[in-house]
Amino acid sequence: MTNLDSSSMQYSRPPIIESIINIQFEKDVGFKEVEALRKKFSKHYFNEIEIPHYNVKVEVRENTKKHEAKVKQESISYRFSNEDSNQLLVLEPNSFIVSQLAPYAGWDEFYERFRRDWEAWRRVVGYQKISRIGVRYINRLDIPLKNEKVKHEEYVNIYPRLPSYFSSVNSYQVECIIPLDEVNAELRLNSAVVPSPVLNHLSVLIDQDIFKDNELPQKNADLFMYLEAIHKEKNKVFELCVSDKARELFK
Amino acid sequence: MSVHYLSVNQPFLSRDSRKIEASPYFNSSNEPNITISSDGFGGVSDMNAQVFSKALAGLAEPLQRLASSTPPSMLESVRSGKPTRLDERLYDATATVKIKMSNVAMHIGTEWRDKLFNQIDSLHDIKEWDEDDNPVNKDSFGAFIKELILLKPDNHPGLGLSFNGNVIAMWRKNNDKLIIEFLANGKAKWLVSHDVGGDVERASGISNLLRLPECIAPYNPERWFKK
Amino acid sequence: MHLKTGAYIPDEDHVVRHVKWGQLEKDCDDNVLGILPQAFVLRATEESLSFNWLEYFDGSREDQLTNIKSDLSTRLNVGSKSFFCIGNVKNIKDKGKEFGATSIRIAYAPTHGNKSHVALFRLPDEDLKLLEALASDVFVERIQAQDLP
Repeated sequence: MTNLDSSSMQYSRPPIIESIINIQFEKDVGFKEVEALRKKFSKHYFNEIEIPHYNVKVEVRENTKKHEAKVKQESISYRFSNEDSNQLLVLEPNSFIVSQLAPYAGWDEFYERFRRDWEAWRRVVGYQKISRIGVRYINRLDIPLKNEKVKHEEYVNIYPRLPSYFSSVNSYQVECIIPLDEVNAELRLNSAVVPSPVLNHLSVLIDQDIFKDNELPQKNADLFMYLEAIHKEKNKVFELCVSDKARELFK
Repeated sequence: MSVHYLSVNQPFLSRDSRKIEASPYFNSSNEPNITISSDGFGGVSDMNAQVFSKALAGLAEPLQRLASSTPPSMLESVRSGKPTRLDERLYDATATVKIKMSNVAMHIGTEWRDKLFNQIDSLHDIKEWDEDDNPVNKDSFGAFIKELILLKPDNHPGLGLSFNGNVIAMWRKNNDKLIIEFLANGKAKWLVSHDVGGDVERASGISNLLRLPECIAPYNPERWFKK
Repeated sequence: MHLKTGAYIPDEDHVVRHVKWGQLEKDCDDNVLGILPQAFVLRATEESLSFNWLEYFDGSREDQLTNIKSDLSTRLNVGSKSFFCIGNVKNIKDKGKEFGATSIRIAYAPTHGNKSHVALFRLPDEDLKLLEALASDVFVERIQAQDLP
């Protein structure tokens, strides 16, 4: 039987291709603070890329047929990455995003980095009201093909239900929004067939985005506790979405 | 329950691959992508009808609001303008291939991954570069990674680059060589060189990635791949 | 010895190919084993393959190569890990003939700042077997840039 308390479940080759913690704010952070943050995080990360956001207004006057364009830089974002380009931090005026690409070394390591960066962020910016918390895990199951076919139902528990008239499916994509009472949040669950980066395999994506946008924890201690709860819930969701046959692929 | 097969040799994947490629992250266009079949999802009929109708009511607006931002990995090529400086071009190319490799990290051991990273860093060593040189082409690198996962060689290859940025993998055992250039169109140009008592026999060809193992099989590739 | 622009390089002379780090044959630990055949492929913008005429300069092998390195350094980055690879003109042409390339031409083509420049024409650079034979059998004398002054 599947152990749904999968916080204890460790896979040797987890199929997670990206994990993200995204904190959004009610108000934008000012240019000055963003610049101070940039300096702060340059020490932690190998590289940074500046992403300016522009507001372009084009005014067309009908009678004179003249037009005028005004370009104004509205804000700036920074994307930081480590030397291996698999640990990312994106600072946007209204959000703070920590991301880990594969290989995923486990929640503890990922969460530790989130805490380090989040605490550094708060020290610079101070209190900023949180308007949304999101934890997203994108998993990709690379399933070996047999005679160029795969019975996807044997690997995943989320897929479109079709009339038996259709004997095969070339591809699919499904999405559903589900309330998660355990953490008082919503889960947006996506599954789709995607081009496989591995030859002779078919890849199925399981993308879970657990988010909450009301009654949000605002203090650090409450936020951390809440993220731990989401972590447990996302593990449970993942285990529900895959079969033992799928688990064999990444054990 | 009826079992549906997913088949990859159907034209859909190749004909419409752009559409599917855009789908992994669903919300990159900011347009919520809702797919609900007539009978709903598996088990949806058991769901509380009220919950279902609530979810459907005015889906578009709240989903727009709730949609996650584009995953950071998808921002890989975002830079204010095209990189013009050599160091930026090399950094971007290195980061792109490392992200590509990360995408298949579960199929590659840590030791090999570290070695590959060192080799890529070495190939992109700015001290060896000129402005008109082309860094690693990401499609060629993708083909290289696919083939390596398929071949699973115990011996890791040496790496080189063609002038147009194609990855070249090479193995040598005594005087016998196997050299494979991975083209950006998903094909591989290969060369085998075999020393028979001082006489060198050579063979070469262009194959697709799946056929490559069969094409080089007559030349006993195990001597290069196995420890 | 000096030649007119466009004159063929004598068979007994040598030409030098500057091979960058990316086009060197290496093992997985980056130990250099030789030259890749791709080192003899034309770039998209090239009509001929570029070499330098070794005997254009007087002196020892090292003096000749040092002069070539110095000339090349004025117009491109000569990385310390790159190699200068030497091949005999007759051997190049003979190797071409062995693979059916009977009309290879190696002509003196000086450019501003690169007085020993040589252009090699009519090399069928899509023939990987020929290029590998040139790399392994003809350009066997090699010296790394960092070993030259």
